Amino acid sequence: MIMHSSTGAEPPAIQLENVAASVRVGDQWRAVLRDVSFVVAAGEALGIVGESGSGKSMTAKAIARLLPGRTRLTGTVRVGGLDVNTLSGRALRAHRSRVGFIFQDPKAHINPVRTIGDFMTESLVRTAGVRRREAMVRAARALGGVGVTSPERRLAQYPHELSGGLLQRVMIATVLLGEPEMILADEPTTALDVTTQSEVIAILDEMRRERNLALVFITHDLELASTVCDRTAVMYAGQIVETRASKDVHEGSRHPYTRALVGARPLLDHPQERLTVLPGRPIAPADAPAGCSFHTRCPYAKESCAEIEPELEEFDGGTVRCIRKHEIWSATTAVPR
Amino acid sequence: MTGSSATPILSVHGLCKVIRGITIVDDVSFSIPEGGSLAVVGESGSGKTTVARMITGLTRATSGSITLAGAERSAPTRSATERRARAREVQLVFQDPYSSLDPRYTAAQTIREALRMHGDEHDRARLNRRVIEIADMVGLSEKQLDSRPRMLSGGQRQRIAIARALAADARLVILDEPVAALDVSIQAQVLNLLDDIRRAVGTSYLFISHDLAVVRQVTDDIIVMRQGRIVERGRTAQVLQNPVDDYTKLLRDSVPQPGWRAKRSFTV
Repeated sequence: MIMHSSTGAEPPAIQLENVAASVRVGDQWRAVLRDVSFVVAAGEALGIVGESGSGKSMTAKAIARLLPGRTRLTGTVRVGGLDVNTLSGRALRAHRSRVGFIFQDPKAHINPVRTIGDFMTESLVRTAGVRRREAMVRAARALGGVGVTSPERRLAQYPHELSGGLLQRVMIATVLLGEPEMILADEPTTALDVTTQSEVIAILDEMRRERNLALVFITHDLELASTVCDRTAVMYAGQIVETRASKDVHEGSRHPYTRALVGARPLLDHPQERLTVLPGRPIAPADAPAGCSFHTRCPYAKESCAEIEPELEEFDGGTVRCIRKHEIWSATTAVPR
Repeated sequence: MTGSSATPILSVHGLCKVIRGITIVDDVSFSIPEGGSLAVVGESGSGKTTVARMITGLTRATSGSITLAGAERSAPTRSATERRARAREVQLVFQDPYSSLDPRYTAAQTIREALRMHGDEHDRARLNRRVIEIADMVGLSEKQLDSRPRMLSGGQRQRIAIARALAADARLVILDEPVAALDVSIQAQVLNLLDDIRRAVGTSYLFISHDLAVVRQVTDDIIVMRQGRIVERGRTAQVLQNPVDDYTKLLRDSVPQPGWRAKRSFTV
């Protein structure tokens, strides 16, 4: 992966180096992340795509330092050049305000018995010491900025009076109020209608460009990631198995798992007789087999795949974690769908 | 698929639902041929789930008629016997199988219960064999059969819900966003499974979804609903390829695919 080396340059917004994490369950440590490295520059959008348990949410939590208490983490997570895991006190609070987090289900993250206005201004009033009236004015402005009409009325309403799409706009506006340097969006539109999704995505995209924010966009939807992000990273069993320019993922992905994801998703304009199906189900990082973690489901697996643990290596314009990539993609091999 | 059979498995005419003066479903008519698969597409508030609830007898239609397997079924069921009879005609599979499965029952118990309720098989050994047959069909392993829903993944839970519908031997299965909560690779397995079952058993589907690509994959016909009304209908491929109604066009344009750009309307 790209490392920032020149000493004078700004450190990248987000930089993960060989991050591994385990969570204590009972008397066992269960791996949730295994060797995750990537860099996101200011103004850049990275999509992290994977199925449940692949570690994509854990990656976002590691960046925000929101991992559960009983977590053991190795490797480094740097945000704005600072090692996130060494922060405490004021530095940690500063870190938290640099990182805006948008969750999948806004309802679960908004206090149902307090007004939208209370929710939006809470941290401004409590931690930034802004006067309540001033905070409300800013909140109204922020709501207007994400396309909410009559924001003053909305501020007086309660969460249950707002639709899911509107609540997600409230979430985005609230995050932006903290003037973050980066946004971590974890499945922000999964619970929304398609037409609403389109609007929320457009707002996120606009905000990122306007404010030069780094964006980490987590989703299970490869197509969505491709349209929102500059680059896409695909995770499987707690590892990144491929990274590539988003525009190339659909046609040009090179890891068998990415190919399988592309083939498994029905396409609106190109329906298939039968969807390409991967046998089995996604493997939890803690249950990953020896060798390549995908080999138990991989149509190209050979014996060696169960023995050699592949590294994430540059290949064909991206990075791919597969020891057979050259064989699979040699000129004579038919292009697998 | 075969739209030629004489009596449709389901036909609804002029279906309306008004709750406290608000029209939720407004003059909806459609039919599904035996072995057919109809998509009901729309966003939240379009009335698509209310239509399903009226067909299954969970809620009463304000007006209009529902004919299921040749019998008038417009009123909700009144007795346990009626509900069981209705259940043999139509089964529901929900988006979140977790909340629709009994947490205390293993997968095998859930399937066996449905078999016992709706079949005339009471011999224990034969029942167990049938449980395994059905589990095989939906791809549940023996270990999963002995697990409770809590221990299983979303895809596996959805397989139990589908297995239960199969066990009840329903001729029509209403699927309400059945793959929306599933991982992409599992989604593909379930969609293929639904296709296989329809081919093998001839079950008809009413497939409620917001996902046009999924609908394109598993249905023959489609109705598009908005604010309780049908705004467009036809063959699924036709409607999705060349939508006529503006709302259908908007839905289509909102699907992220290569070259797609999110649009912002500025009005909420």
